[in-house]
Amino acid sequence: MRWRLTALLLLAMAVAGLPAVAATYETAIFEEPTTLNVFAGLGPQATVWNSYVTYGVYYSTLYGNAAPTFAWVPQLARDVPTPFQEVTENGQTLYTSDVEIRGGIRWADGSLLTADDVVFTYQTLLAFDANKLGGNWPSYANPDVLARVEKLNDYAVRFYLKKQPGLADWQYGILQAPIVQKKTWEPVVQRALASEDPVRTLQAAEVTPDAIGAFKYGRWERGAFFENVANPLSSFKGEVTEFYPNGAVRITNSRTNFTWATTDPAPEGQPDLRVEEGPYVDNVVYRIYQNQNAAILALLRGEVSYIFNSLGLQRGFEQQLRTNPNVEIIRNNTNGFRYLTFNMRREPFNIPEFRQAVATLIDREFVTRDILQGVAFPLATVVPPGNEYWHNPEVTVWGQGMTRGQRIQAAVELLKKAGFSWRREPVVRDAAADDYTPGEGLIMPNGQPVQPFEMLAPAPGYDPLRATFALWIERWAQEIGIPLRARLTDFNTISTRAYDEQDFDMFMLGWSLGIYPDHIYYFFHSSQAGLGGFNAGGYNNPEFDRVAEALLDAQTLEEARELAFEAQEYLARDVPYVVLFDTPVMEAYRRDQIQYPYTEVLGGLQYIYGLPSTVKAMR
Amino acid sequence: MLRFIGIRLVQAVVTLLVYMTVTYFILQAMPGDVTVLFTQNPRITAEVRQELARRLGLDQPWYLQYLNYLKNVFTGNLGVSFTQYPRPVWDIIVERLPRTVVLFFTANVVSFYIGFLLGRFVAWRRGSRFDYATTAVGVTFWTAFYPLLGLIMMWLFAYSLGWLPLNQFISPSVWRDAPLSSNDVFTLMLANLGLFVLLLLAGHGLALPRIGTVSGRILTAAGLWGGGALASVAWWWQSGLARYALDIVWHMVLPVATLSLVSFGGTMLLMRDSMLETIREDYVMAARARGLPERTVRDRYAARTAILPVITSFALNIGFVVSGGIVTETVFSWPGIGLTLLEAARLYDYPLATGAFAFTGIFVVLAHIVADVLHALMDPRLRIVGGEVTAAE
Repeated sequence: MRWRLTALLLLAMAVAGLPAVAATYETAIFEEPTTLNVFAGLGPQATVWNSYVTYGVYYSTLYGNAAPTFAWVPQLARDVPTPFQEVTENGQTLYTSDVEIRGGIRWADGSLLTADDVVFTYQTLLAFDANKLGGNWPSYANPDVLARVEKLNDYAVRFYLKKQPGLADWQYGILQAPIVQKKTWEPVVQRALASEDPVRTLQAAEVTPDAIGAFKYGRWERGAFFENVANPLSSFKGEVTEFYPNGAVRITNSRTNFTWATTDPAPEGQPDLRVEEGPYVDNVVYRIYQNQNAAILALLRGEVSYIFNSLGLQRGFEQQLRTNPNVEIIRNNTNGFRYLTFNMRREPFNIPEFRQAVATLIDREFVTRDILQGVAFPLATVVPPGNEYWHNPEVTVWGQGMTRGQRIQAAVELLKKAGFSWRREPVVRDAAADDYTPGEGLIMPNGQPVQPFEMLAPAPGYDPLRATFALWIERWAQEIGIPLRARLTDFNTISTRAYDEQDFDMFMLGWSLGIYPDHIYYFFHSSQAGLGGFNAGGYNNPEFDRVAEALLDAQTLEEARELAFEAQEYLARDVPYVVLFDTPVMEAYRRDQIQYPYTEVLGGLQYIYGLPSTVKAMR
Repeated sequence: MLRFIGIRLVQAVVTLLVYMTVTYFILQAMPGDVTVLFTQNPRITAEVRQELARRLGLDQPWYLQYLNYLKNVFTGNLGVSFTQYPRPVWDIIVERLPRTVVLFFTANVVSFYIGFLLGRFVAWRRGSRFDYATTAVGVTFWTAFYPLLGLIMMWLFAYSLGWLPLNQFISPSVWRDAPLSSNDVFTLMLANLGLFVLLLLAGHGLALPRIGTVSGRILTAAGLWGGGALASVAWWWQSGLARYALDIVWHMVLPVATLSLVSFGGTMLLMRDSMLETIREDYVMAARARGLPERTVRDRYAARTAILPVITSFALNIGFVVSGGIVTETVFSWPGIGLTLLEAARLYDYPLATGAFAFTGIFVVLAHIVADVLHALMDPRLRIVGGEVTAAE
C-alpha cells in the first residue's frame, strides 16, 4: 500500500513538474486588423476584421444584445435606465435618465470600473464631435441627442439629452457605446485636444488597448498573426446567462453578486440555454491568411479551429470540408438581403402598380431553388425572418405561390388598372398551365411608349447570384413588354450612380443589417432621399414617414415592434424595394479541438466574434 | 561616363513624372471614392460621409488634388492612408517592403542562377536529349498557370506530404514570445545580405585582379564566399535570433521554389540563345584551336560574353522586386507591397496606392539606369561617346 502511495506521490510530482500546456483557440482571418486604437477602429477604420480581434473583444458597453437571442440586457449597468425626467436649464428643456453601474468590475490592469470611466467616454465623444470621429461613433453619441453625462456617485451616472430619444438613439445607440478606461485615455485625449487637429491626433495615437472583457491584447505580428491573451482579472468569468423559452433572460454573476432578469417576460420554467462566461482558453490566435484555399487546408490539417469570414465560406469548399470527419459545417441565417429598387422620381417607376407588377413577375423560389440550386434562399421582406422579433410574417408577398402564367396575368391586371396599355398585349389562355403569348411595347397611361431603361446589377465577378437574378428579371419583364435591360457592372459604379448621383432607373444591391430595424427609417423616409442619402430611390409616402418617425422615437420594445410591423406593411404594399433573396452564412470549425455553447445564431459565429469568451478547447 | 549617367538620370525623372501622372489619373478614373465603402452602413449618414471626404481632401477639385499629390511625391511625403487613417503611407510601405524584398530578391537570385547554369549547359549540348528535356520542362513551367501551380505546390508539399509550412511567413508558436518583431528580423536579414554582397563586390573588384595565379584567385573567391557565409551564420547564432531567421527561411522555401520553377525557364532560354550566338564567334574558335579544355572554353570564353543579356535582364527584374507579386503574396499569404497595391486600389486608398506605385516606379527606373551602366561597362564591344552608347569598331 505504501509503495503505491509513494508511486502516486512521485507521479503527481512529476506531472506537477511538467510545463502547463496552453489551451489556444487558433483561428483564421483574411485581412489584417489596422489599428489598436478604438477611436480609429470604430471610426474611419471601421472594418469587420478590427472588430473581430480588437474592440469587439476588449470593450464592454452599458447595455448590449445577448446572443443568441440578441435580447437587450445590461452589461456594465446594474439595471435598466430610469424613465426620462424633464428638466429646464437656461430656458432649454432637457431629458435626464440615470444609469447605475455594476460594482466590482475590473479593467485588465486591476483598477475598478467606475462612473468616471463612463462619464469620460461620453464626454470625450462630445468633445471631439462624434460626426468628425466618423464611422460608427455618430450613432453612439449623436450630438443632436446627447447633451452631456454627469457622475452622480462612483457607480451611477446621469445622461442629459436634448430630446426624448427613441430606442434607436437610446437603447440601441447611446447606451451601446464601448466604455474606455479614463486612466489609459485621459492623457491621450488631453494631448489631442491641445493639438492643431484633435481628431487626427486622437485617431493616430498608439495606445496599448485597455480591456475589460475575457481577453486583453497580447501580440501583433504584422502580416502574420494577432494574439489576445486571457484576462485573469475578468470580472465576467463565471457569469451565467440563461435564455428561457418565453424570451426571458436571466444573468447571474456570483463574483460580483450581480443578478438581473427581464420582467416582461419574466423567466419561467427551465432555461433553453445556459451560457457560462470564460475564458476557457489561454489565448486566441488570429492567423492572417490571404486566401480561402490556404485557410481551408489549415482547418483540414488542424492548424486552425475556426475560420472568420463575414460572408461565410464559399459553397465550393463544402465538399472538401466534408472529407474530414472532425470538421463540423454549420449554416445560419444572415441578417440582410439583396434587393431591387426603382428611381421613383422617374416614370413609370413612380407608379406603384408598375412596381407591384415587376414584383409579381419575379419568381424568387424558381431562381433560388432551380437555377441557383439552393445556394440562396428566397426573401421578400425588409426585415428578414431570421430577425424573428422584428419580422412581420403577415405582409403581402406579390406573386407568392403563382405559376408563370398566373404571374403574367396578375402583372397585366395591375398595369391595366394603372392605365397602361400595349402595342401587343400579352395573352394568357390558361394561367395554371402556363399557356400564354408574350406581349410587346408597353405604353404609359399618358399614351407615350415606355422608353427602354436599364437595371444596374452586379457583374458575375462580384456576385454571380445577383447577376443571375438580373438576367431572369430582364427576361420576365420583356415577356410582358417592359423594355428592361440588365446592365451588369461593378459595385462602385452602381453605388456611385445610385447614391452620389441618383442617376439610374433601377438597381440591384444588398444590405447587411443590425438587430434593431431602424434601417426602415434610413432607407425609406423621405428626408433621406437627398444626394448621398440612403433612400436613393426617392420613396415618398407621408403616411409611411409618420410611422417611420414614430418607430425612431418609440420608447418601448412593444411599441417599436408594432410600428415596425406597420412600416413593413406599407413597404410591402408600395414596393419601393423588391427584396429578392439572401444566402445562408456557412461556417466550419474543428469539433475535435473546440466546443461552442451554441452554434445556431443569426449571422453565424462570426457575427458574435467567434465566441472567444465561451469556447472551450478540447485538448 | 558621368555625362552618360547624368543624361540617364534626367530621362528617368521625366519618365517618372509621366508615370506618376498616368498612375494618378488611372486611379482617379475609377468610379467612386473611399467614402463609397460607408454606403453599406445605414447608420453612417450622408453628413458623416461628407465630413470624411472633407478630412481626406476629396472635396477639393481634381487639379488641386493632383498638384498636392505631386508636391507630396517629390518632397518625400507620401501622405496619409485613407483606409488606415491617419497612419502615414511611409509607415505602411516600410512595414511591408522588407518582406517583399527578402522573398522576391531570393527567388530572383535562385531562378536566375539556375537558369544561367542550365542555359549555359544545354547550349553546349544543343540537340541532345538533355537539351530537349530541359527546354520542355522549362517552357512548361514558364507557361504554367501560376496561381494553380502555387496551390498545387502548397497542396502537395505542405498539406499532403507535410514537409513544408502551409502558408504565411512565420509560425505563431515560434514568435509568440519573440524579443523583436518579424519585421526587425527581415530588416536584419536584408542588412546581412547587403553586407555580404558588398564584401563580394569589394573582393571581386579589388582583391581578385591583384592575384596572379588562377588557383590563388579560386582560393580567394572561395574564401570570400565561405568566409562571408560563415560570418553570417556565426552572427545569427550568437545573437540568439537564428531560430527566428530560420523560421522565415523555412517559410520561404515553398514560395521561392514555386517562383523559381516558373521563372528559371525564361533565363535558361535567354542564356541558351545567347550562348548559341557566342559560340560561333571567332575568339571561341581560337580558344578551342589553342587546345583549351572544353569546360574552360565554355565557362571562361563563351559564357562570359553570353551572360550580358542575362545580367541586364536580372538588373531589370531586381527593380521589380520592390513591387512584389500579387499572386505570390496572395497564394502564400505573404503580405507585401503587391498586396498593398491591390488593396489600396480596391479600397480607393489613393495616397497608399500612388505611394506604393511611386516607390516601385523609382526602383524600376533606377534598375534601368543600373542595367544600362552595367551593360556599357561589361560589354567590350560598346563605348560611351559624348554621353551616348555606341558600338566599338
